[in-house]
Amino acid sequence: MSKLSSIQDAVQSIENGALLALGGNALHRSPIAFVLELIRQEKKDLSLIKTAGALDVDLLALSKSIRSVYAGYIGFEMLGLAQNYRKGVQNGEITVYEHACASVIAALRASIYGVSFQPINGFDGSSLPELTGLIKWISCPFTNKKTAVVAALKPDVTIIHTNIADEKGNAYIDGSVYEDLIMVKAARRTIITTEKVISSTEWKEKPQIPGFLVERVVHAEKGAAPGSCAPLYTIDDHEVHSYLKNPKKYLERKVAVSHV
Amino acid sequence: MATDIEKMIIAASRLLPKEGAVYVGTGMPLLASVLALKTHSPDLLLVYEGGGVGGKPTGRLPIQVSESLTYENGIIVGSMDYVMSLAQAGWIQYGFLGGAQIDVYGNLNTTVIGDWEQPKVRLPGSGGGADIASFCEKNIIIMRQDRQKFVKKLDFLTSPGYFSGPGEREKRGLPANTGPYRVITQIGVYGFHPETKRMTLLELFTGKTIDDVHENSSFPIDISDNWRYVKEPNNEELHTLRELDRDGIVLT
Repeated sequence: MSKLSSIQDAVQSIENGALLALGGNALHRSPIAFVLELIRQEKKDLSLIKTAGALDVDLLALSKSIRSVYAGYIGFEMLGLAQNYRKGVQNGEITVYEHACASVIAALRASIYGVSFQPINGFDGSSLPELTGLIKWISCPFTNKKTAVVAALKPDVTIIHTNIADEKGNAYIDGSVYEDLIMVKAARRTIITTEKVISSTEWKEKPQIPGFLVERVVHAEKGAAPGSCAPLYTIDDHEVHSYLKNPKKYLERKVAVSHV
Repeated sequence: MATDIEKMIIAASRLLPKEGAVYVGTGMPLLASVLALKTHSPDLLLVYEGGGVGGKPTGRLPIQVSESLTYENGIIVGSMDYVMSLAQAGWIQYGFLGGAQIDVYGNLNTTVIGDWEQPKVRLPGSGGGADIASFCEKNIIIMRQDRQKFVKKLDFLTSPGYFSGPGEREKRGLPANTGPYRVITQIGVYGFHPETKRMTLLELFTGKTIDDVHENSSFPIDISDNWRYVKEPNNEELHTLRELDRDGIVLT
């Protein structure tokens, strides 16, 4: 049976309060079309998992759709802070589960190996573990070395944007896969948005994501814009700046028009 | 005439070795690393957080560590998990960091200003900072210097420096011979004294004074007996740098 779905149906399957992992990194290959549809359908109380987030997380902060965020970094790098996320955290609307990018990955990695925690190197000294309780210490049973561990994170739904996918859910990403492959394996279910849908008999590239891990495939051309989806399109500087200048106006404009 | 930012980037690029691996962050570190690649360090391996390894961008400068330009002409493009585990297992010698606050031992805050529970300003967070600061043998910190940024006590310790002095990193289980190496600001270049691990002025940019060093820090900064002026940028460095950022994304 074909897994192709409209973006509206795919988003309808998301429950309020769900824990979502969003693929891509910063302004690159993030599932922005899906995020905008989440906002159109007024989903609430979402929790997000992301290594480094930017427009995706900030849009959902602006629309007051998020309850909590598990992330290593939320910001626009050289373009500045994520102002709506910043405000949401400062006024107590958004709970931050303070991670580093590496500990988010480790927490997802625990889920892909079917274990409840993952040892992680690199937290001997940062205030991150003590303050947030997300990282605890155990004694290695083999060497007695004090070892940091992070609890597993299992997304209810992972949403990633890919270059090509077929009706069976097999999908291909060009360039860096960021954390997408781990997010897909870790999740209870996965929704893929994609630039191009082909038939499963037509593959020239080698898909990295096997269809049996995927529940739905949504055709969403320019689904990562105004971020990039290499090599098809790069960041739309003008659109990103128009967002940073007036996020509300940008969102109103985007929400008014349904994607695909 | 070079600007403050150009001088800082050029000073940073000179610190990078002929070969070895550097973990590249966004902004000034990125420019400094690519500048080193194009001047004295053609064999330097640039490792980007987004997954690119060995990228040698030719055209426009990448402005983000995850964009596809970071693996242009590169060796591999993997995942963040791949490159971060390289650092975790000790394969990366040089790291580049920035921060909103730094203290005398080179500890950095990129998480919050004010209380973590009720922040005055919520900042982006660690990103790769905590692990880069933990594992890289030599961390170069680039940031602007003023009394709000050079603080007696951090609001949050995101990325470890020397904690409260010598031996503290080792005591907490971090690998030996790692830690902050240099801090570059618009005023000068600082190192960390081998015995006290306190920030110490090594070089001043021309036109800056020892008074500037003290006036722009909330903690006392030691001055090396052998302090000198930073060598002026030469034409090749300045020309190459400006060519890299023709749109003035970082430089203006």
